[in-house]
Parts: sequence; C-alpha cells; structure tokens
Amino acid sequence: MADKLIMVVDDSASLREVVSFTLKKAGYGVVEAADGRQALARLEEAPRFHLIVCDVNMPELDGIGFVRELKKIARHRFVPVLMLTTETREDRKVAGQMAGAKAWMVKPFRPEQLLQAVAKLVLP
Amino acid sequence: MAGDAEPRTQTVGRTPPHPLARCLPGLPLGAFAAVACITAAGASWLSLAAASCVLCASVWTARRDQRRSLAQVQMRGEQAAASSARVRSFAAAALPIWARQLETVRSAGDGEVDRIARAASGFLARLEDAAGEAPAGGSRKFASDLARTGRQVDALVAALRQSQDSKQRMVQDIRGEADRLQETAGEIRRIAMHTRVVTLNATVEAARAGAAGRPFATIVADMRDLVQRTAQTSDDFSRAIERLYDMVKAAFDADARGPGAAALQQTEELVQDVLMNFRALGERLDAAQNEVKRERDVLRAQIFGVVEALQFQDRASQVLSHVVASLGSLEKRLSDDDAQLDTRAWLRDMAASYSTPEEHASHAAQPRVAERRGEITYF
Repeated sequence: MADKLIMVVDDSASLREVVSFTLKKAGYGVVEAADGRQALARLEEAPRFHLIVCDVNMPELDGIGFVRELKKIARHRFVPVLMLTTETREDRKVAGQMAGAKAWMVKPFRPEQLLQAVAKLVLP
Repeated sequence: MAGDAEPRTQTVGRTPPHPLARCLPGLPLGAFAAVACITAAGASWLSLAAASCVLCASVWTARRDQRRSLAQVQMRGEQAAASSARVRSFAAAALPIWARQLETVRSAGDGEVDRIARAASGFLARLEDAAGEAPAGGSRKFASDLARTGRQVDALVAALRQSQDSKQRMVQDIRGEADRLQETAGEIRRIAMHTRVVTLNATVEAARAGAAGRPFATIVADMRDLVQRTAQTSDDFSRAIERLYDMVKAAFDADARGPGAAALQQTEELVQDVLMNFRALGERLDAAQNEVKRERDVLRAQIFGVVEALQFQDRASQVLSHVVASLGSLEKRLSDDDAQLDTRAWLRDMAASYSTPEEHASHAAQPRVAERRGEITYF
C-alpha cells in the first residue's frame, strides 16, 4: 500500500499527527497541509492522490470551500474526500455532500474506524 | 454585563413635564385651604387676600418640590449614564484581557497536546521496532538452526559409531578367515603326516627292492624332505596367521580403548549439553518475545486510547477560539457609544459560529449530547 498517497488537511497539528501516524502504520504514504490554501498548493507537488482526509473548520479556506476548489482541478477532481470533523449539523453535512465530499466522519475517532473508512474510499 | 440582559435598547433621561403639571400635586391642598379661609371668614378682601396667600404659598411649595424631583431624576439619569460609561470603559479594558487569557490557555493547550501526540507517535514507532512485526521470528530461526545443528551432530556421531561397529565386524571377519586358514594349514599338516607314512613305507619297499629300488629310494627321500618342509611351512604359516590376527586385533583394540573413542564420547556428550542449553535459551527467548509482544499490544491500545482522548482537546480549542472571537466582537461593539446592543441578534450570531455539538447544547442550556465517536455517513 506504500504506493497509495493520502493528503491530510487539518489546522490542528496534533490531529494531523494522529491521522498521519495511523495511516503510515497501515502502509499509506501521507502528505500534510494546515488549511485549504496549503492543501491546494500541495496538490501541485504530487502527481496523484488516492484520497484526501480533510477537516471542515479551518482558517484561510475551510474544508467545504477546499472541496469545491478541488473539483475544479481536472487532474484531481475524482480524488475522493473524507471530511473528518466535529460538526454534526445536518446542514453542514449536506453542504459537504453538495460540494462533492464522499463521506463525513465525526471526531473523535478510533484508529480502526478511520482505517476502515479509508480502505473503503481510497482509489485503487 | 448584567444591565444588558433584558431591554432591547438602552436610553438615558426623560422628557421634562409641562410647567402646569409641576404645580398640580400641591394645588388641591392650597385650593382647599383658600376655600376654607373664604368660607370661614366670609367673602371679604381680607379673607380673599389670605386665601390668595395660602394659594400662592401652596403653588410655590409644589413647584419647589417638583424642581427637587426633577433634579433627582436628572441626577439619576446622569448617574445611569455615568454607570453605563464606566461599564463600557471596564468592558473595553477587561474584554481584551479575558480574550488574551483564554487565547493563552487555548494555544498552550494546543502546544502541549501537539507535543504529547508527537511523543505518543514516536513511542509507538519505537515499540513496534523493538518488538518486531513477526512475533518470535528471530528465536524461531534460532531454534530451527539449533535443530539442524543437532541433527548434523547426531548424524556425525551415528557415522562414527557405525565406523566403530564396522571395525568390530572386520575383526570378527578376520578372525573367521584366520580360523579357516588354520583349518587349511591343519589339513596340509595331516596330508604331510600321511605322506610321511607313505614315504616310510616306500623306503621300506625300496630297500626290499635292492638295487632296482635305489632310484625309487632317492625319490622317496626327496619326498620325505618335501613332506618335512611342507609340514614346517604349514606350521610357519599357521603361526604367521595367528601373529597377523593378533596384530590386527591388537590394533583395533588399541583404537577402541584409545583416546579417539573417549574423545568422541566426550565430544558427543558436550555437544548434546550445549545443544540442550541453546534449546532452553531459545525457548526462553521465545517466551520473552511473546511477553514483549503482549505488552506491546497492551501499550499500543493504551496509547491509542490517549491519542483518541487528545482529540477532545481539538474540540476544546475550537470552543475557546469561538469565545475569544465573541469577546473581541463585543469589545468592538461596546467601544462605539452610539451602537445599540441587540441581545437576540447577538446570540443568534454566536450560535451560527459554533462548530461542536457541545456548544449548541451549552447555548441552549440543554444536557450534554451523547458522543458520536467515529460516526460516518457515506454519500
């Protein structure tokens, strides 16, 4: 699985550490970004991502805004996005779905829950 | 800000009353007194003058009381305005301090949580490296190598023992051959004895034959010598066979009793001891590695539990950041003296900024919501 690259986008360094560690132990390659703007910049640096795990509430450009921008980039528009957030309101969840996210997971999570979702969503 | 809780808007001071209204409270009494004077003294100029004086005095008293009340209302209004100004001044000074204190707590908490998360990740990585991914892989190979070495030693010892047994069989085979050769030598001696008897008889007959028997006697004499030599040779051969057998047997016996066999025996015992010790060591290593693996699994579960708990710090950080932002907005609003503070609109804007279910529950003074750890919705 080392050939599968996942981007982790979250303004919390500790959350990025937790998610990255969990994914790396499972054999995935990981690239990190602290907000939506940085994530868009990172997209230019890698040829292909197999999944993006993204927080919702971030400074600069939030997660839903990032997904909308992502869908405009031809090379990455089909990369699945897993929203990882504390938000539980239905209107925010619907906004994520309308923007193009593939799944919405509520924090906190157990590592096995994250890995199960990643295995289900990651591109082959 | 206790004063901001209920009224939608704040205003200071009231509209001054109509001049006639200032006099109204004292007039009924003065008018009654004036009427009483006139009634008591009659409608004379004296009673009218007295009534006028009473009436004027009551009006003057009433107006004085009214002026005093108005002054008090104005004073209270000024006090309220001053109090509001002090509250605004206090808020302008205290709100940024509270906001900075909360931001200090939030960022310090984030920093410590980041450090803990990195330490936990590093510890888990080192734990995995120390315990190894394949349980007891190293000791299993060690045991396998030991077993192979043990089999090789056993095969070597077996080969040496077989060699010893072969030597024993060879000695026995040589003994058998020597015995057969002895039998043959014995047969040759018997034939020689019988031939000697025949030559004696032939000598006697040759003597009887006289001169004609002389050539025959010579032949018989030669035959007698031949028999003699045959018997001697047979004896020598028999003795040589025995000497040879004794030499071979002595050589094999010396080998069996000598240092080679003892060394082999000792070496075998020593190697078996070493192999047994190494097997025991391998089993202890295996057990220790399994124990390490169990402890690693327990520690990993505990660390992942801590890491999961650290995620709540992220929620706490979000709540604090929202409070800091709200305090900042309040400070800006209160710094504008003309701005109206609409409580309902303010609370509505606060609720719109929330990102956690705990914030919504606290806002509505409702019980804390049940946790929805890892709940996932696929679109």
